[in-house]
Amino acid sequence: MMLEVKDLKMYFPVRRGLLRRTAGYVKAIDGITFSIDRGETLGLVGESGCGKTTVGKCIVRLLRPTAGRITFEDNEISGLSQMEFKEYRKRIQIVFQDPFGSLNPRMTVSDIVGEGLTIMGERLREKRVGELLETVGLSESDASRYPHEFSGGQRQRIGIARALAVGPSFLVCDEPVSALDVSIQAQIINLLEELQSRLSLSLLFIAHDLSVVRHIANRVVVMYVGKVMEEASTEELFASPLHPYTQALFSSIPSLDCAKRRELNPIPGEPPSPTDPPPGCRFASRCPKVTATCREGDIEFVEVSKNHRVRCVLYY
Amino acid sequence: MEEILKIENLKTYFFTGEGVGKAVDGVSVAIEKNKILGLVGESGCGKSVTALSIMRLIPSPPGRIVGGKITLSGTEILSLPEIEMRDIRGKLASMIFQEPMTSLNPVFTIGTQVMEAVRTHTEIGQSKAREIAMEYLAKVGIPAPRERMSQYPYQLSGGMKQRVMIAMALCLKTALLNADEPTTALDVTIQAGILRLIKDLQAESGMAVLLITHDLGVVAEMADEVAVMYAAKVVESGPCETIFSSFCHPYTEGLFKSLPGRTERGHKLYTIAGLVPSALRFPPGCRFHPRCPLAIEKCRIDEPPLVRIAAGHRCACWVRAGGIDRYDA
Repeated sequence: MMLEVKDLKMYFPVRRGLLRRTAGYVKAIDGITFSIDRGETLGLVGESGCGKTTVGKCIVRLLRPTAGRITFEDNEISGLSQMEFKEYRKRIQIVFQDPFGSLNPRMTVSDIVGEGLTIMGERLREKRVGELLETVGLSESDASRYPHEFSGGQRQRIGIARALAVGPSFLVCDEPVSALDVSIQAQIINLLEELQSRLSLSLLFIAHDLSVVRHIANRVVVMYVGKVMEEASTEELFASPLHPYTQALFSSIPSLDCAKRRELNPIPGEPPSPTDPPPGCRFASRCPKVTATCREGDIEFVEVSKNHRVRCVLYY
Repeated sequence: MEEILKIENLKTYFFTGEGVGKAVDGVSVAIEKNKILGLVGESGCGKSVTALSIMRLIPSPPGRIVGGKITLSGTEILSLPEIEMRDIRGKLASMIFQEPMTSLNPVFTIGTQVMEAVRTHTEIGQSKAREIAMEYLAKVGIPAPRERMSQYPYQLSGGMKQRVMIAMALCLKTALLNADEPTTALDVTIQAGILRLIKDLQAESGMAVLLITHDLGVVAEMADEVAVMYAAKVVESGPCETIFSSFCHPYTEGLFKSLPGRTERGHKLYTIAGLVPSALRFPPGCRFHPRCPLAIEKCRIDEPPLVRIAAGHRCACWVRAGGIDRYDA
């Protein structure tokens, strides 16, 4: 087991009024459990606002979770202090979504990629940065240039080189290709897959584009308003999605075939607010198969088959 | 069939300090009543500038439409004075802009902004305009439109803002709708709702739609005709089924092959080598030749014309289309 997340919760306080009193909490993630094996790619999908990015940020400790446990290579890391966590920063790294916002425009590529390598000393560091740039398909001579001189795809390569600099074994990829054009997107996906097998990385691949996840992930977790709704191996999930939400999500994807055009079936209504989620199933208000029991109590995450779990009363 | 939009040899250039950027360089397309034309291509290929040219909203300077003809329901619009053009916008053509987050004015209520569109382009009075605005907000699926009318953009989610933009564009019942990446910033579930809505409203009013997108799935779902743009030119066009089943241009082929959905898991995705050329310095000959796996000597020297290769199907490629019309219209 590479990484295990158990009952993770992240609540953000909402402050109101003159005294900034806490008026409530945005429950961005509300009890998430999953695990990732060594060398595996886990896809994390869901709509904007479902909490998928927050999960990634908790794992790399850009956020401190409210509750729950994160275990990395059998060591509990969620309770560590910032100093103690430093050791793990070398092993857990992140690639961000926005290749324009995530690189400091006033730093050269060499400074960006080599920031974590200061301890190596100037000469070694320069050599290592050169190697890293070659690894991600850029050239050594790019080291002295600034981010604005690069296209979106090239910037994402710089972001990947920065993440790889300290030699991590686990990479969180937060929507790494969603800002890119199709042909560039393919280049970055190929690069990530190649690096994964070469450096035996484990990946948490966060995305809203299901076709990308289908291509890259071994297993997929589907989130909705802070909860995991379904988890299955990629083949299994795409062949037979069980949760009505997953089914609705899949049926909103346009098919890539003019001849087989079908009616798009949008999900009615809006997702509930994470500040005050309804009791019972969070999808109940929009679900076509809703029953009376859906709105009561906690819905269990049940195992339907060996590689397939779902949070829905229909499968009790 | 009645032709709503006809663009002939449109050239829109940007005159910058670094040189002339040919954003649109000889584009010809047409859309009939009740049809959707999908305009596809990657960032910077000139899709949005084409739509802005139709609305005559090219920022000038540095941009200028330097050549060509745009005919909207029989009216040639490029020679019209600006004052008459204001009438065309909102009467003959409207537009959904790409960024819902920045295209609404943050200091006016939703109601004011939708009503402004109605009142600017018609003689309708305040109370009737309010009714129309509310009707269209309801049509685009905004719950409780009466309450939403008095809210400000920040109080709405991204999907809602995009729907407000669509309500503004649709409430004038124009003959042509320019939809510039109407769903790009949105989740698939909201996207599905908006695409459905555009189709439903089209069925009702028979408007022609120019649908600009880089998402081939959206095109497959929506378009009757498709035009693929690369480096400021249309490189291939034809009926949707034809383009998806028997594409001709190596660039179109590359776009399709690089989609993750079409490649088997565990296999490498196809990639188009190299980068999109800058509009300041297009390569000579075929603009795609430096990235094309099929390029021959001729491609480096002469620019291939867009020729007919089957009924309604055109392609600009020396290798695949030969440069001669093989089919008489």
